Amino acid sequence: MSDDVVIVGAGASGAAAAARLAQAGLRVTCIERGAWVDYSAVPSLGPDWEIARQTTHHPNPNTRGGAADYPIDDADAAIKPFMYNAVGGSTILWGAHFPRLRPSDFRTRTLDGIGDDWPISYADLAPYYARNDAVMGVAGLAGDPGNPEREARPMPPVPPGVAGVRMAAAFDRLGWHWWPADVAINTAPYGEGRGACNNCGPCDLGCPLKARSSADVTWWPIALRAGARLITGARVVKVETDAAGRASGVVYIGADGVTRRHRAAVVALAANGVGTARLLLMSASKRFPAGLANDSGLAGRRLMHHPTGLVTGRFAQALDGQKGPFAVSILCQEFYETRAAHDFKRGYQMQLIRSDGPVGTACGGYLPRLPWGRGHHAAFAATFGHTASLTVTAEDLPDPDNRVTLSGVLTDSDGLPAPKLTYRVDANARAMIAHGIARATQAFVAAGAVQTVAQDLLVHAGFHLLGTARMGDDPETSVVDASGRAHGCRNLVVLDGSVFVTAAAVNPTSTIQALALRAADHVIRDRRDIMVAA
Amino acid sequence: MTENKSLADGLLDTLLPGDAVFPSAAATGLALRLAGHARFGAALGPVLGRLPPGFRAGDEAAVALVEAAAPAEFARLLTGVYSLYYTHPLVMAAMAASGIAAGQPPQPLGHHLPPFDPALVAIPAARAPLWRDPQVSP
Repeated sequence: MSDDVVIVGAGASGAAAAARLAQAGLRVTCIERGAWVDYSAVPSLGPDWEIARQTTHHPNPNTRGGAADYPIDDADAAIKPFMYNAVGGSTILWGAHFPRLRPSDFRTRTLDGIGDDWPISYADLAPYYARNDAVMGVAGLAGDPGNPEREARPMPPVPPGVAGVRMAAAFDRLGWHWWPADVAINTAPYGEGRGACNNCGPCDLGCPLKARSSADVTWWPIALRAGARLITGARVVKVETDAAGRASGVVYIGADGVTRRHRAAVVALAANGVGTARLLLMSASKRFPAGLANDSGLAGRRLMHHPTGLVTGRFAQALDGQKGPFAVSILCQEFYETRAAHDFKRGYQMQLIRSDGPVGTACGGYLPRLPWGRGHHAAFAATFGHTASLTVTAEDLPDPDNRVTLSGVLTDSDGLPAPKLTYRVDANARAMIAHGIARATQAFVAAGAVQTVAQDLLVHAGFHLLGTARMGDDPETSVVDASGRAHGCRNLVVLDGSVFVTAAAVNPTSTIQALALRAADHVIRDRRDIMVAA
Repeated sequence: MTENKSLADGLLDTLLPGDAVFPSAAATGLALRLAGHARFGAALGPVLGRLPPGFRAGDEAAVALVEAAAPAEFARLLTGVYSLYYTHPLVMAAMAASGIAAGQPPQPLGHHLPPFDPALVAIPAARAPLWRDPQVSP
């Protein structure tokens, strides 16, 4: 018997959709190439935790080279990919920053004459944001004038730390917006078996308290209780279609190395903006010679990241910056919206992040590597825990030449072509980052930093993989419709960030999950049509 | 091995000498740990091979010349040196004793931080909305 829905990928979007669909009584199976995380063995429990950041928990799969990873041809990519394959996907390594898009993010063409308008609005997603917030658990504070009103956050904001308090005061003196970030981290026990954060620092290594939200400890328990099935350690290599061009299921290689076929009435892709695009392109057929659902030629195109600059401020005062969730405290969206006075369109967010650990401080990252020799220990004492950094997270405009294709030189362990990323940062983003670096530096000076160091583009910042199966009303210029259904293959649904039309300037996971929940609702609503659609 | 170890100790103590708080690299047994490390071990030999005859610990000028001659190779060594040094129990204990750091892995103890004080947002909360509403924006 085949399933109603087979989902490829058990990350943020796959988990949310699996739960929703299973709760509605559909037969759902999710196939995931990674495994469950063992929280009794996360690196933050041992002394070598910082070495894990260089190896097993490095964000770039090419560096990590783990059993669940596939290589990525990123030689022609100015920003390198960041992803993780596991039950929970990249939420296993994320910092849990959880903002929503703003209403203007959905209307960049109408408002600013660039990019494209989404076929949906913030209002369409608002109920799904709220539903997702309740499951993931959000610490924050309602009342932010930088964003539309929303429900009271389930938990209070994460502690800002000394740096957060100093920078907040600096933003106040400058007259700039700031607000405690919405983050998917428990500041009190919340959710099934999930404790409160104890401010240990390295959320990116996995949270043994399950305080830092991830899809495996939130949506997956719900999905499994509702009857969803999850196959792990299995690599989907193709989406198959029938003679009528409908998706009929997927082909995957199981953990035992055996190739199997899994049939379903609906195929849903949740393998992120690189993995989903790769699978579409690998699923070419007579009906879809350029790749599944690629009649528009846009599958894989319009790859968007968030080009990120960084300014680090070092303070004479100890900030205890190694304490607290490493990537989150407060944010500034003063320069988020387009302004006529700027030499760029759209805008950016500044996100305050904390200090590095001892190894990271010595080896350099936020600041240059510390000097060796007689001056080392004094430099260490003046730096460790004395820094804070502001990211300049810029909106990336869609460019069809920024794309995912199939590599002609690199293959994975199954002999299948690796995805190739071709990506450059455009002049608009560079101008935005330059502006943001100047403002961030100004903020650190206002806060009393004794040294500031800027990096104008973080190379290992491809955490957000967006746009490669963009949604739209016109099949000529989009891959999926406003419900995430592929125009050319009506029982194929894309659930992940591939569907983004524009990137906004905020972390996308909250929006990705809201879109996935909405897509799942539409599958449920339209099941009679989808499951027989030609 | 003894001669090589002596040379390695000298180099490592030049990179990370001890002080009143921190042990020297050699005092942590770094040479042996480095040489045997799967990830970092390969970086030591090439740099040792570039040291001048008669090299003595503390000769920063000589080590600086080696760094200038092979910066990428030297950087790989330094990553290993810093990574293994700062994860050694003696160094972690030194950091704890001097109050610089906890001296423990992040979990299970974590850290205490004062909770968020809502009074902090008094000024930003009083601002007018900053976001554009496409329904009303020109």
